[in-house]
Amino acid sequence: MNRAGAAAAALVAIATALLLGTAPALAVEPLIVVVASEQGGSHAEATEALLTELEQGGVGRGQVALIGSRDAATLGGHAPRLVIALGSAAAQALSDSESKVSQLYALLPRAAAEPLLVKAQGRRAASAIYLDQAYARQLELLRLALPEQRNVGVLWGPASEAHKPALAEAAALRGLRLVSHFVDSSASLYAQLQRTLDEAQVLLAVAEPSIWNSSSIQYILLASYRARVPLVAFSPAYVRAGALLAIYATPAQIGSQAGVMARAVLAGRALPAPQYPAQFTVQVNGHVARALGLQLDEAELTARLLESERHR
Amino acid sequence: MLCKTAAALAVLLPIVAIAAETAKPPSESDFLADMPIVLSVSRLSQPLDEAPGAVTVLDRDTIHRSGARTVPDLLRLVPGFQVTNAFENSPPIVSYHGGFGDYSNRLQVLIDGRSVYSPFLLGNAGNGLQTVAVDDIERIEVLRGSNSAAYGARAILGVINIVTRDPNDTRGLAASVTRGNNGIADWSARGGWGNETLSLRLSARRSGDEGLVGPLGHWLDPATNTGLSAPDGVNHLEIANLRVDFRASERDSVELRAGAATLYSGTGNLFAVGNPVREKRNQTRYLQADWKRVLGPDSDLAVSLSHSEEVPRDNFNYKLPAPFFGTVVDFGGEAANDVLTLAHTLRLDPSLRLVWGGELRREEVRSQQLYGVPQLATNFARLFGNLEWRLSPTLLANIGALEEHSSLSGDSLAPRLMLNWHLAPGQTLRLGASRAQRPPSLYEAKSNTQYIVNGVLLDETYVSRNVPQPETVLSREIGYLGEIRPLHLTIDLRLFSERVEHMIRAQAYALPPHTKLLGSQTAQEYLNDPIPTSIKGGEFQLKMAPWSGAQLTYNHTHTDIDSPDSGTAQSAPRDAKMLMLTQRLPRELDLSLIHHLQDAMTWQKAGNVLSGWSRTDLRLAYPFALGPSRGELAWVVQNLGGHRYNDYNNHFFFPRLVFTTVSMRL
Repeated sequence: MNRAGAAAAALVAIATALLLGTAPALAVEPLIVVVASEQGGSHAEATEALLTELEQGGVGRGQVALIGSRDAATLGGHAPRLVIALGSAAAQALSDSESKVSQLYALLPRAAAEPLLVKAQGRRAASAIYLDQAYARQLELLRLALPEQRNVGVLWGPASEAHKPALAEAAALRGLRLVSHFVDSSASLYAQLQRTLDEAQVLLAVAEPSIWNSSSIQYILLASYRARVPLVAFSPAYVRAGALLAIYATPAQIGSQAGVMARAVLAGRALPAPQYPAQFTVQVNGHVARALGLQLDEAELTARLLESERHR
Repeated sequence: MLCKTAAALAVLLPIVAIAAETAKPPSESDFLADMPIVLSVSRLSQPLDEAPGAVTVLDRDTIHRSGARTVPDLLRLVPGFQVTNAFENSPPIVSYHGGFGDYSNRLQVLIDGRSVYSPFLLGNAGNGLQTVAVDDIERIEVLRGSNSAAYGARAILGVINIVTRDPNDTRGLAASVTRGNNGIADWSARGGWGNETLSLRLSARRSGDEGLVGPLGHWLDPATNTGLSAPDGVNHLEIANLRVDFRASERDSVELRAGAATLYSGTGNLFAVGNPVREKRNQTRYLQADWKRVLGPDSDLAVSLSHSEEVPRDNFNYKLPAPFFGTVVDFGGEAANDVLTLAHTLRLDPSLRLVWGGELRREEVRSQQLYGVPQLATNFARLFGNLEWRLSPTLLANIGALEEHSSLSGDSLAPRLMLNWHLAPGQTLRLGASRAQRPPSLYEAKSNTQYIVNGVLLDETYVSRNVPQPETVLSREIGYLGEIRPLHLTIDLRLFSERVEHMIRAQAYALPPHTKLLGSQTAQEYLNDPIPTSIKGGEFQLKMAPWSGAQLTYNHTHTDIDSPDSGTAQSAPRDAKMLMLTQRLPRELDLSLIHHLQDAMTWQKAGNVLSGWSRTDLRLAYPFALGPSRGELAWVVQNLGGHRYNDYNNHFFFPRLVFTTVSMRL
């Protein structure tokens, strides 16, 4: 089955579950309950990859119950070994439930997962797979792709500023200098972006909804292109918009990683610690690269990044 | 239950609302949601090593650090260019590979895509070059060499593409004042505002100076009767420009521009009957609307509509006794230009990019004195296309053509083929040829300048008897672009051969005896040269960062012109060299040095030999902060050595100029 087909199948499964209000009648009590924030798109893609990974570990689709966020409080009436939330809303709903079953939050950014992990402490085992790539990996890619660029500009906002020390440390380890500016309102975005573009040679996007959104992206990308400061981003949509490159995990990569963690739990091991995506995808906007006089190759960058991570 | 939920919501909502404003945490949608396409196919510029020709880019930093007060003065930094600073006949003019005439009429000048080439008289971009303040310019891209295949007939020798700064980059208030010798007095002010969807800039500038000097300084030269400045002692220029950028939707952007400029300048000879010392005025104004729509990841549509007007005023009294005393000659008139352009840029596949489109243009000139009729209009329609075809990862072909129909001169086709071969990373060899046509301007085709008073023909200067055929340029070039990254060194070499056929030139013809009352019984008309003019040579540009904080540019142009007309044959210096060094000094001081050295040339006609000259410019700038605002104090000396050199006319000299600029940005 191709990817779209698989996603469609998962979609149908989730839709059926939601339509019936409770879990479909299963022959056996499910080992795993999956709560997805949404039915289609990325969530379905992640679900399908999760199911495939579980199947490879001998957990059939019949042993997994798919439910919507609405039924998170009751886990759809099931008593599984592990419950997996896909998406922020599902994770939030699940975290609000009284259930003592171990919870795994996936397909959500670290900033959204962390409060839930704190909340779970002392109540139940909980872990997470973040959507963000580790700073070490992002910076390593940046170093490989743009070896001459040493000054890395980052715009921080209220939701992301707490991570500044971690990024600064990872940058220092690689001989990169962080040019950080804090944006506290959309009015200050202009001034802080100008300052950043004056000082930095590359702009690194850090997920921060108040800064990086579909209404500001036009302004940020045009300004950075005029300044010939390339943007390194965290999602393929930014590459399509005009970022030079992005490193990200696809929903399928996250789903499959969740499957691996679930198999560990089913095998009797403890729920692994919260983690960044194990896998990643590098995407380059070749047209932007050419306009900036750069030659970058996705496959080569991916291979070099994997190689560099192996040696660390 | 419902009540409880409602109560909980009532308590929670304000908190949620505040939280959303202060720190809305990211969710998966930040990572997974779609984004609008911003750097769409037409917004991405062609890298220099893939352009179908030699391109010199003067960026904002270079422009700022050059110390130049005007755009023509900046173009001295471009290999192959000749530039004047004279206001006496036309505003300062620029030419490429030869000062062939009194006007800049073989170069197209675009400001944000709008042609500022005036259809008045012989056609001239000189006034247009004065309509933008240097401080408002983001960069100037000079396409060296014939570019009619993309820009039409007027780009027969090249294109000057001026791009103004994005209003988002000029938010806030800024002002500057310049004072110096030779009457230099400039001020400029700018205000900008913007948010994510709308941004605008309004800028104004007034500049003035006493222009060039004669052999006796600003006194009239009794030997030549040459007057060198306006009656009130200064040439001055007033400019105002407004730009509004509006993001109408995720796919649509709209840019509106409006502006006006007025130039007052002096001209004339003290003792000449038909050319007394007087002040001329030239007003221009324009409106421009551009709409760009992103049709998809690989397709963009751009529509541009503009209206430009020009009102030259040049009235004077013929110095004649009765019964002709008080006869007013009016060289003034009006010109208007309406243009609608549509361009579609699309990527057909990763190896094929196509830009194609069309343009409708109507040009109208009014000057009874010059044309002998109240009004003349020309309609143009053009179709153009350029295919950028990546034949292999190292070989790129640009295949382009432009077909234009003119109601005055019929059809003309300008094709071009250029191959760019990337020998190795950073090493590109370029090879290509193009053919361009410039149909005669309205005046070249239909001049009819007669001074008739009380039924008596006093004089006639230019009267066309035939419409000359278009002049054509066959241009061939070999170029090399090299980059040695570790040394921050780039080399741009262009070897060119331009063959100009049917060059249009004014030639005198005899009138029947006693046709006119004054002067010799001759008139002039514009005719085609029967023998082609050949321009061959090479341009070399080296840029490097030799040591910390320094940027060095060296240009050398060698030009050989072979022409049946001796003036044309000497209309470019055989060798011209330019060295520009900028250096960041301690305490944030900024130093620039520009040295020019060029051989003798003639401008416009055989007898007007301008001796070879050298000129050194120095600029020293000190940035400072005053509370929240930032400023700069800059001191500029142009022609540091003080040896006056010929500029435009061999009776005019460029003196040593010293001026200081204080600028503030809030």
